[in-house]
Amino acid sequence: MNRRILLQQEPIDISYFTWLLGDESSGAQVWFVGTVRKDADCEDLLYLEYEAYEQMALEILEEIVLEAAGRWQLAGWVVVHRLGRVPVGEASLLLGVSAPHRAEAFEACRYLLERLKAEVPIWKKEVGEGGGRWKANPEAPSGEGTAPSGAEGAGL
Amino acid sequence: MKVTVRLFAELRERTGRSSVILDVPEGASGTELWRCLSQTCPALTTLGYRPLLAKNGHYVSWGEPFEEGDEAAFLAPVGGG
Repeated sequence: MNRRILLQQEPIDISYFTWLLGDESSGAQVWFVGTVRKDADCEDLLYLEYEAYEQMALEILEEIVLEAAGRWQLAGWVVVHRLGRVPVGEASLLLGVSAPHRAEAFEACRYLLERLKAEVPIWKKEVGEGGGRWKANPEAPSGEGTAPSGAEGAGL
Repeated sequence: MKVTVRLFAELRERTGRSSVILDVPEGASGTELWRCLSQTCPALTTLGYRPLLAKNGHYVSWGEPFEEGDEAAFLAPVGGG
């Protein structure tokens, strides 16, 4: 079956999923692999620790994927996000889509990635030699609406 | 009524709890849940940002009313990818 959405603790076996996505009607597959890297903020990074609100994350991923599938006529998709400890250099995310033509596949893959990073309830903690800190994506919004009175002390 | 509030990531760590059962008036809004939760878990008052709110696994505004048995979740800005 060339349609998979998974959250998993195990390392992502990219070649297995590449094989999974193949089908006879698609002329294009586009893949994105997100990997854990050291950056200027955290040069002593050892690993990222991912955590998810799993049921909600899977439901939102499915909604986003089905929307993209309708918009770009996708034949198949693979979305695999790793949870738990992911060491520097290893893959935390694998996204793949197949479509009749490359333009649709590229656009759909980019769309899925941007929506995932902004909306899907998965969090990461950077853990280095000096400890850990939670890090949100720049594109991820915080809560909206009128300022809740109970949050007045939260410096909002 | 009783509403279960689930906490993840930074909110879970700050409070030391992955879920809290709140006793709030029928139809309490997200704002009221947060007020009650902040009293139960004072570590949340210094969070520094307003969390997102989910009701039964869907994002909702803070004005959303809750009913007995609903599952609420206050969520930090996400960081997946």
